[in-house]
Amino acid sequence: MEDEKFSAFIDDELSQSEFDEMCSRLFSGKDFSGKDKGLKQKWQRYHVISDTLQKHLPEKVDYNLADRVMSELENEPVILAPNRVLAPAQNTFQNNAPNNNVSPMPTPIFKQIAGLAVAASVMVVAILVSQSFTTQDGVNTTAPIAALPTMPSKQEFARVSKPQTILATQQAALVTQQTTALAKPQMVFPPDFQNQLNKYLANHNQYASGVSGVLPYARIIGYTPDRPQLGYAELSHSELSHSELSHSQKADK
Amino acid sequence: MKADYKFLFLLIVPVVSWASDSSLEAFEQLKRMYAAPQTLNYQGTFVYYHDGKIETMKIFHSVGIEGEKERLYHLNGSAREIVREQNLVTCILPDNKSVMVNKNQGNQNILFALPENIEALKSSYRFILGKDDRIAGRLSKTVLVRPKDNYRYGRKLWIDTDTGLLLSSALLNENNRTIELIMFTEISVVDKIPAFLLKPTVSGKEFTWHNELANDGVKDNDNGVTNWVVKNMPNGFHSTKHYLRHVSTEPTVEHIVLSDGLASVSVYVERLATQNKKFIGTSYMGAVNVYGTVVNDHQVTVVGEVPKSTVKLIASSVQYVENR
Repeated sequence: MEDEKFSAFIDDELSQSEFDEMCSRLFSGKDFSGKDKGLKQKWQRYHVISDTLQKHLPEKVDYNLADRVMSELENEPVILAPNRVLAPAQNTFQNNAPNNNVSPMPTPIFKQIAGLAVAASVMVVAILVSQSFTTQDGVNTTAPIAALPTMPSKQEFARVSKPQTILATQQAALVTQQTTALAKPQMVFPPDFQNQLNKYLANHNQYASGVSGVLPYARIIGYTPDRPQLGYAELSHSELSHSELSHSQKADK
Repeated sequence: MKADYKFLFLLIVPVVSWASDSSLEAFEQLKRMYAAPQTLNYQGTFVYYHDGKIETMKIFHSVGIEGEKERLYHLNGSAREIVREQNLVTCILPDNKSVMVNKNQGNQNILFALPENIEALKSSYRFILGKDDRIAGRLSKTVLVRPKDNYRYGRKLWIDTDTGLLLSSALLNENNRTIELIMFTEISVVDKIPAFLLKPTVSGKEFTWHNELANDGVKDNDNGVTNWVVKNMPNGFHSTKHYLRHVSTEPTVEHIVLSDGLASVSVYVERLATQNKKFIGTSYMGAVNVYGTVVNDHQVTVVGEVPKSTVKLIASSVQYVENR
C-alpha cells in the first residue's frame, strides 16, 4: 500500500495533501514506518529505475544527490516564486516588433548591429536563446549567448540561481543534472563578444556540410522558446550496441 | 603443421571480403541517398532532437524543370519556415518579424559520386553497412560512419530501402551517444507537390528583410593572400575556402573553412578592438563546439560540429606569418 503511494508520488499522481505529506516525510528523513532513514534512498532508487526504463540514465548516477539536496535545503530559505532569470531575455526578443519602442528592457541586440551582422545574429537568436552553454573548459552556465544583452549581472545571477535550485528540488521529478548545474558558479563571455560569436555560429552553419541536407536548416528554425526540455543533453542510442560496434571494427581489420 | 596454416588462411579470407563488401555496399547506399532528392517529390514529418529538446517539422520537396524546391516549417510554436530553391534560401522567423535571404551554400550531391572523394573520406572514417531497420513504417538500410580517431563525430544514417531517401540521421559523439538527431515519423513519395504547398504561409510584408545577396561586403579571397595559417589540423582536414568579410561598421574578418569531407570547421580571425572583447576558452551549442584564443592582437575563434579537442587543436595552431 505504502509502496503504491510512493510510486504514485514519484509519478506525480498524488493529491495535493498527500503530496505535501510525502514531501514532509521525505524531507524529515523518516520512513513510512517512522523507524529509519530509508525513504531518501528509496526515492533515489525509484528515480534510477524509472530513468533506466525510459533510457534516460546518465553515464554516472549520483547516489548522493538526495543528501546534497537536503543539505542545500537546510541552508536556504524557501522562495515560492523565484525570478526567472532567462525569461526577460527571451521576452525582450519576442516582443521585438519594430514599433515596440516602449519596452523597458535594454535595447535588443539586433537593433544595435547592421547589415549582414543583423541577419546573422537574428538567425542565431533563433537557434541559441536559452540553450545551455559552457565556457572555459567545462564550467556550465545557463547564460544563452544570444540573450546576454539583458542578462543580469554575475552577482545577480549567483543570487537567483540558488533559489531556483531549491524550487526544483521541491518538485522532486525535476531534479536532474541540469538543475544542479544551475547552482554552479556562473561564467559568461565578455559582453562585447556575444554578438560576434552569434554571427560566427550563424555563418558557420551555412558551411556545416553534413550528410543530411536538411540538418542545417532544421537547426535554424529548430528553436522554439517554450518547448519542454528533456532531463539529459544526450540520448542513449540503443541501436548502436557494443556488439554491433565491435563486430564492425573486427571486420575492418 | 601445414594444415594449420591452411585453416588460418580459410578463416581470414571470408572476414576480409565481407568487410570490403560492407564498405562498398555502404557507399552504394550513400550514393542512392544523395540521388533520391534530385528525382523524387515527397512530403513528410520529422522530429529534430538537439540539446535535450525535441522539435517537429514538416517538409515538402519537389523537383521541377527549375531544379529542386523545398519548404520546411516548424509545426510547434511560431511558424518558422525555410524555403530553398536553386541558389536561394529564404528564412522566415515570425517571432522576430524578420525574413532572411541567403545564398544556398552546400551542394553535397557529388560527395559520394567521385572516387577521389570517397578515398579521402576513407582516410578519416570507416563506412559500414549496419543491420536493416524500420523507420516511419518503412524498411531501411543503415550506414554507420565511424571516425578513425577522436577528432570528429560519427554518424548513423537510415536510408529508405525502397526510394533511397534519408529517413533518419544521428550525430554521435566520442561515447557513441546521440547529440543530434533527425527522424521522419511519416513520409510519402508523391507524383506532384501542389505549388501552394511550397509557398510560405506569411507574406512577410510587415517583416524586416535581411538580404545577404545584396551585401557586397563579403567576397571570396580566391588568390589566397593571407598572413594567417592553420599550422596543425587533424588528419584528413584541409582548407577548402577563404573569405574576407567586411561590413562598413565592423572590422574585417578573415574566414577560413576547413573540412574533412563530412565535418566542417570555420576559423575566424579578427583584429582585437577593445580589451574586453577577448574570448579565450571553450563553448558549445549542441553539436557545435567553439574555441577562442588570441594571437598577435587578433581574436581567433574556431567553430565546428567536431569534438572540443579538435577546435582547440586547430585554434592553438593558428599563426600569423609575415611576408607570405
